[in-house]
Formats: sequence, C-alpha cells, structure tokens
Amino acid sequence: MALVVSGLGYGHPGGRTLYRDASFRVEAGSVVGVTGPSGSGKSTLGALLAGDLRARSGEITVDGAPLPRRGFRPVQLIHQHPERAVNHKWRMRSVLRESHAVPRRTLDLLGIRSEWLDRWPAELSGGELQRFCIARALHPATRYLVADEMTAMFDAITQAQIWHALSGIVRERGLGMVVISHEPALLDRLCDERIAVERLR
Amino acid sequence: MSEPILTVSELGVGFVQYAGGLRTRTVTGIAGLDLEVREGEVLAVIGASGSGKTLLAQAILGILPRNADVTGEIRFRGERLTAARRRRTLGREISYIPQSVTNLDPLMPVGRQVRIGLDPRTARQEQRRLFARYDLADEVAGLYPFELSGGMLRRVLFATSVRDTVRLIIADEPTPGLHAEAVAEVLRHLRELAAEGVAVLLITHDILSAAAVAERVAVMNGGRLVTVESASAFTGDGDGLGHPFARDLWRALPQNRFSAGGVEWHW
Repeated sequence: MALVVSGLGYGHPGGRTLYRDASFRVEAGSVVGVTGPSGSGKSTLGALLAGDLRARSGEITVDGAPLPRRGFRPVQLIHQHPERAVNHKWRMRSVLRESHAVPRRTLDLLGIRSEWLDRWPAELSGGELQRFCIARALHPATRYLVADEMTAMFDAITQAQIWHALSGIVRERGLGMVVISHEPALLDRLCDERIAVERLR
Repeated sequence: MSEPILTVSELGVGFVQYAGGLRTRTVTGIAGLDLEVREGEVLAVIGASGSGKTLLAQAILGILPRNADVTGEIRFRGERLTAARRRRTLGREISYIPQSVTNLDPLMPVGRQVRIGLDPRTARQEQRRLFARYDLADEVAGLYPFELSGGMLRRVLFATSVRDTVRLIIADEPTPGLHAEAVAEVLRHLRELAAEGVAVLLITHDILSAAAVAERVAVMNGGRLVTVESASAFTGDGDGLGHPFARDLWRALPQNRFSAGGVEWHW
C-alpha cells in the first residue's frame, strides 16, 4: 500500500521542464516532507500527486491502481490559502457537504465549533477556514493527503493546534501524507523521511 | 533619550455591520491599544491572524475600510495624525512596505515605480542609488515585475518605500513565503534603516524574525495588546517571558515544544 511516483515528467506549458524522471514513494501510514526554495516546483508536485495537473510522462499509482482521472480523488490536496479554496457564496455547512457528511467527531477533533457552520467564509479567520478545508479533505475514501504549506500563513499556536489535530486523525486512519514546507523545524517534527525537490529534477 | 516618533493611545477600531434588516452590530477589531515607537528602534508586533495586527497598520495609515469606526489617538512626532497631516506625511515621512509583492504595478517597469514621489530633477539618480543599495543591477530598472524573482521584488518594494525624509516605516508581514536567506536579508535591511534613525514598526506572525530584529516585541491577541516583551526573552523555554500568552506562542514553535496552548506534542 503506497502512493508510487515513477518516471514522472512535467513542465508548465511553454515553460522549462520541472521534472524529467522523478520517482519516489509514500507508504500508507507514513509522512514524507518535500522541501526546496520558492519557485522550485513544490506546489506543482502537489498538484500532480492530487491529479489536478496531468503529468507529461511517467505514472502515479495509488495502492496499486493508477491515479483516477475522474470521480473521487483518493489523494486530497490542502492548499496554503484556504480563503481561495472555498466558495465565498456558500455557508460553511455547504462547503463541508460538497465533500461528504463530515462526522461530528471529526469536527470536534479539528476544533470546528457548531456555530461556525452557519457562517460565511468571510466571517472566519484563516486558521478556522483551514480546519474546514482539512475536514472536507478527510472523506472516508481518502487514502493520502498532500499538505502544501498548509499552516505557513498562521501564528505558531494555530499551526500547532492544526497539526496536533490532523496528526491524530492521520495515524488513526492509517493515511499517508506529503508535507510541503520550507520550514525545516516543522518537517523535523512531522516527517519520517524528507525529499529535496531538486533531487527529483 | 531618543524622540518618540509614533505614539498610539487608547486606540479602538470597530466595524459596523448590518445584522439583518436595519439592525446593526459593532464588531471589535482593536480595543484599548497603547504603544510607542522611538527613533532608531524596531518594534515588532506579533500575534495570531485576526488579532488586529494589520488593522493597527491600517489605522495609522488611515486606510481602514469605510465602515470602520476609530477611537483614541495616534500621534506622529508629537502631533496628532489628522487626515490633513497624513496627506503631507504619507510617502514622505511615513512609509509603508506592504505584505504582498502584488502591490507593485504589473504594467510599469520597476525603475519607474521606484521613482514615484521622488523629485523629478534627481529621481533617476536617486533611483540608481536605491537600486545599488538593495543590490539591484541598473538594467533591472527597465524590467516588469513578472520578469523578477520573488526575492528581487521584495528588494524593489524596499526601494519604493525608502526615502531620505522617512522617519517611520511600517512593514506588514514582509517575510512569509521567503526562504531563510531572503528572510535574513529583509531583516538586515530593516535593521539598517533603524540604525539610520528611522522608527520601524514590524508587523509579523514570525516570532523568530521578530525576536531577531526588534528590541521590544508587542504581542496582540483578540484585538488587544496583551504584553510588550523584551526580544531577548524569546529564548530557551521562554521562562523569561512575562505573559502566559507570549510563552504559549513561543513554545508552540516546532523548534521549541510544538505545544498547542499548553497541550504537549506527541506523535
């Protein structure tokens, strides 16, 4: 059981090649950190893993099956800016429901208060919104998570609270996780293994 | 004793919102905030997102949204900062380094953006001097923002804000998204400005940067300034920090305990 990337090639249309022959694997239940300077293609890698971008060559498989092109995505991406990842004209209850009926227990673990469900996105702080984006990504069929600078915009306490909550859930469900970050101390805390994105070129 | 450049007393910022029909409610953004920045000093303001840090900057600059209601007093070099005084001082004596490089005009070469507000007779010469100071090659002046890297754009933002006449610089989150060397460079530039006598108000959620560059660190939580700590107290386990919220913030860093408000980390 693993998320396996083999011989991945990608470059933005008209741009230089970012990845020529990248291969690595993320075992289910393990956490892999991805590091690299800004502009080195970390977020692009996250989008490729989640299936938001299509690789030029090579293959990504999820627990043995190719990454599906349609239907539910077993690899869920959590973005750096939650305010850009939710529909501003939906109340938070609808934002969650678009994914699945998120169990009360998950909401409690993530510290999402019931009264927030009736609010609009603009009425929540970034940290509060990000908890919803995480809850939404934790569909029962999710096998892997990609956290792309998920807490880079938050203060230290909010960052710690979010990781405390998510790490418990990830361990309980045996999910695999890719953490993209330029903060070495954070990766030291979270990851079993680290990949420098330059190495994948 | 150095001169106080910015004095904020009993500052309050509230927002009037419609709560259905004609009923309104006032949401508090900042309450009862006092602070002072002296010449040659870097004062950092840290706190959670939504704690009112950016509102403080906007209140000083007079760029709050229209529905904001401001109380209290803001003084610049001893005199009240009124709308008329802002018109005279903003961009000359008071300067702002915004959070995002998207504040640059994408359709104007960066050299021209740096020349905005400079005396036209000496603007070109002054712009070259600023470019040299921030390690930007002369040819860069003719380039557009999209042709520059993130680190270069940060330096251009500095060059647009630094003027010989500036006494107060407000820098709002100048470091997120930058790698370690670029962060160190931004902090070095802020220290240089302070060494020239400028008062620097640094707004950030990056505690390590704040403690590295400032003498004093003001901590905000829920619209209130809860404590002003000495930067040197942000060390070890934070036992030297006076206020429990400041200790919680410090200990929550992954390089410290990674604890969340007293709850210890375990994996």
